[in-house]
Amino acid sequence: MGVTQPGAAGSVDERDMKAALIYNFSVYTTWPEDTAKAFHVCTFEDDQDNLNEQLLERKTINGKPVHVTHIRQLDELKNCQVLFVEDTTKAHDRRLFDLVKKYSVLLVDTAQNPTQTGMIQIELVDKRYHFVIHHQAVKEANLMLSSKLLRLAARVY
Amino acid sequence: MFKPYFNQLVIREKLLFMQLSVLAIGMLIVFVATVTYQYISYQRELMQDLHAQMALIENNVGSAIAFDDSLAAGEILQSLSTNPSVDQAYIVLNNHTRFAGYDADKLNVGNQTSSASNSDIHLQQTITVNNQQVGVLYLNANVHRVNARIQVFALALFFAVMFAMLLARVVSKRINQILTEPITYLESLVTNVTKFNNYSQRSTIQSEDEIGALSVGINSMLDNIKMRDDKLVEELKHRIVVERKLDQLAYYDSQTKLPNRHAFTEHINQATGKNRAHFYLLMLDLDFFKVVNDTHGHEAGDQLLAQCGQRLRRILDEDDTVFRIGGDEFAIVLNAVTTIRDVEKICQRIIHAISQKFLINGQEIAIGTSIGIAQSSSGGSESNLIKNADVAMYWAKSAGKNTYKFYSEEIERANFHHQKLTTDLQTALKNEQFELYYQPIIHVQTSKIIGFEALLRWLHPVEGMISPNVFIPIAENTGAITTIGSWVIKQALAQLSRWQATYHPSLFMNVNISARQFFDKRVIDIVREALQETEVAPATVHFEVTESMLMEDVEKAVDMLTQLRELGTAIAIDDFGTGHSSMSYLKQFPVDTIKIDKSFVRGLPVDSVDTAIVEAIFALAKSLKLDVVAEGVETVQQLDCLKHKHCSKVQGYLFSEPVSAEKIESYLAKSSKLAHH
Repeated sequence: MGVTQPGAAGSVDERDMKAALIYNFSVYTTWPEDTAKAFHVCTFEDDQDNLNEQLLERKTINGKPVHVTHIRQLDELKNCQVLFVEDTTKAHDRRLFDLVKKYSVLLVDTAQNPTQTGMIQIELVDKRYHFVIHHQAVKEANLMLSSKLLRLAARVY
Repeated sequence: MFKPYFNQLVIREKLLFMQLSVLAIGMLIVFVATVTYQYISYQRELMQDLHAQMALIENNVGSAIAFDDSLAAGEILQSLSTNPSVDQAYIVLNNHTRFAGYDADKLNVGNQTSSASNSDIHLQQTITVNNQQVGVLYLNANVHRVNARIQVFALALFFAVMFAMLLARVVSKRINQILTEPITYLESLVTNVTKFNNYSQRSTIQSEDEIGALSVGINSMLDNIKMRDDKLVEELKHRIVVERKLDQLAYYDSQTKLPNRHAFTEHINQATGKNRAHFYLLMLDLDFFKVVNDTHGHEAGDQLLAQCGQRLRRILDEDDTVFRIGGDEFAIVLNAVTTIRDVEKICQRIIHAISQKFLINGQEIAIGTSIGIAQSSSGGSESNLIKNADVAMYWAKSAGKNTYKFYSEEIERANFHHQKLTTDLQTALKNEQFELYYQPIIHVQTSKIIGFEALLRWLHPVEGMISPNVFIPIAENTGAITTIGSWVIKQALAQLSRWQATYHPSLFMNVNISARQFFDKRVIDIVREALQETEVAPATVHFEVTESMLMEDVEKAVDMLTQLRELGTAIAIDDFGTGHSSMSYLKQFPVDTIKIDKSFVRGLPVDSVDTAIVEAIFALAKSLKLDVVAEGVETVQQLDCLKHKHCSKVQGYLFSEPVSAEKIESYLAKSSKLAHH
């Protein structure tokens, strides 16, 4: 089984929940061309504690083993498929956003107040995790989200 | 049970029945197959739908599970409501918790009864996300809708089938009618032909099929029959013509154009057969026809017969029939007359008509006819009737020809008796049935026997004593009289010879000679021989002849008497006074004695006429110097009267009836004793 069992936020560890969500987003997302041997979920070093990395590294996505990579420089983004950003300010960085779009990286962040930027934003409402999709941004990144994902989203911009 | 009923049906109905049966079976098979196929199709369709829906749900619901969004899952499951067959669907997660569900009943508030257990179909589908099972989708569905659909389908199909059957029946009926019409037509044709024997009917069917062939066959068969029929009719006609010709030949006489003997026998057979009609049968024989044939030739004879036939035909009624039954014989059946008087009249007319002269080849020919008549009711069978008429015809012929005689049984019987005696007479002499009796002739003065009259007696083995009055005419007719007479003469003379030797040489014997015997010259020789044999004195032998015998041929009689006298014998005239001899004739006859007939003696002495006749006879005898013997003396008065008239010889019952020789001997013995005394 090993799939993250989504559930009430209270009962599941936040880190686990986020890892599971990232995994699920990855499942319903299609990347343009993918020649890498592994599926790279990247985080900034300072975000590494907000994510249960072990949970993710046990999974495979699209038949590829998941590697959680901690990046320090934005250049490293080009090897990433997913970038998890806990810090919203970082996420709203213009340069980062452009790069993410350039390298077709799915940007997942947790934002209490969803803004115009960002791609998928996880929010906690009534102790349940929801997510908001900025579809235009995703499309600009040459990523394709499954309609199922779009349907499940709390809001789609 | 069914078969007899089926056999009763006409072909059209049989065909219809079979067609509809076959159609019904086919329809049933198609119906069942179609419904079954449709049912399977519906089910498959349902399953495909369900599987498709489940696949869709599985595809969509995976994300909902992944994101733990049971609401979304519920919404997705809600899409099942578009399929009314789905009762329930729910998702169970890997940890066996129910994640989301759909229940059709919850939507239909009014119907709470159905539950998962009512469902017919139970399906499950694992839900995978990224190749990993995240839960299981369970789905319960029912086939109600399928059933309902199949019912509607079946009903529609059923009506379609029914309509098809109905249509088929109408079409079949019409087709069968077209098909069987010729058969019915042929059947009625054949029936008609059989019923009315009308072989000129023809079938008008001209189809190319088997029925057409049958029609042609029947027609040619009818042709054959008709031809055969016509031939038969032709042949029958021909045969009738031939038969008529043969009949003409067989039943008609070509010379007289009258029906022949064949026709006659048949006619009589019929007439005496069933209806037993009363009629008279006349048998005709032409008298002297043979003479005509002999003198004028057969051709003339034939013409004569033809003319006779015409005359007979002219006399008779339409109802009466004339047949020529052979030679110169004709037969006539009188149907129209009833009384003997009428028959006699007709017979007289026939005799008159036939005795009129015939003109043949310019020559006049006269013939006559003898007719015998028999009455149909009198004599049983037809052969008897013909025989009787024939017999009567012979009587007519022997009665002098040109006359008619009715057949009578009495005459026939008498004739038969006569015939029998005639036959018996032939053998009587040989069988020693004859015996001579003797009546004594008495001398009146001495009362002594002086002579005898020999009288022939025939002792018939069956009929007893038969009188000479009966058998002598027969013997004369047959000629037997010659031998019998000769026997009598010899016998009498032998007896006389013995008695003369024993008693008295003057005893004499009177022997009767019959007319036929008398005119037979041989009698002289016989007498001579007898006289020589017995050595009796000729003078003691007297031959008695009757007056009528002498008068038959006076000249010849005189000659015969003279010859007898020359032998020395004497002649007595028997039954004198009864004939019509005249004195002059009596004088010519060399006679010795006259015997007064007993009819005159009987009247003596009372009857004056008899007395006068007897006296006259005595006077005549005296004048002619003839001896007299009185016959039939029965009383003493007669004897006294005769005595008184100087009669010397008498015979009669007063003395003795004719008796046997033995009796005579006893008389003679007595009288000789008396004489000796």
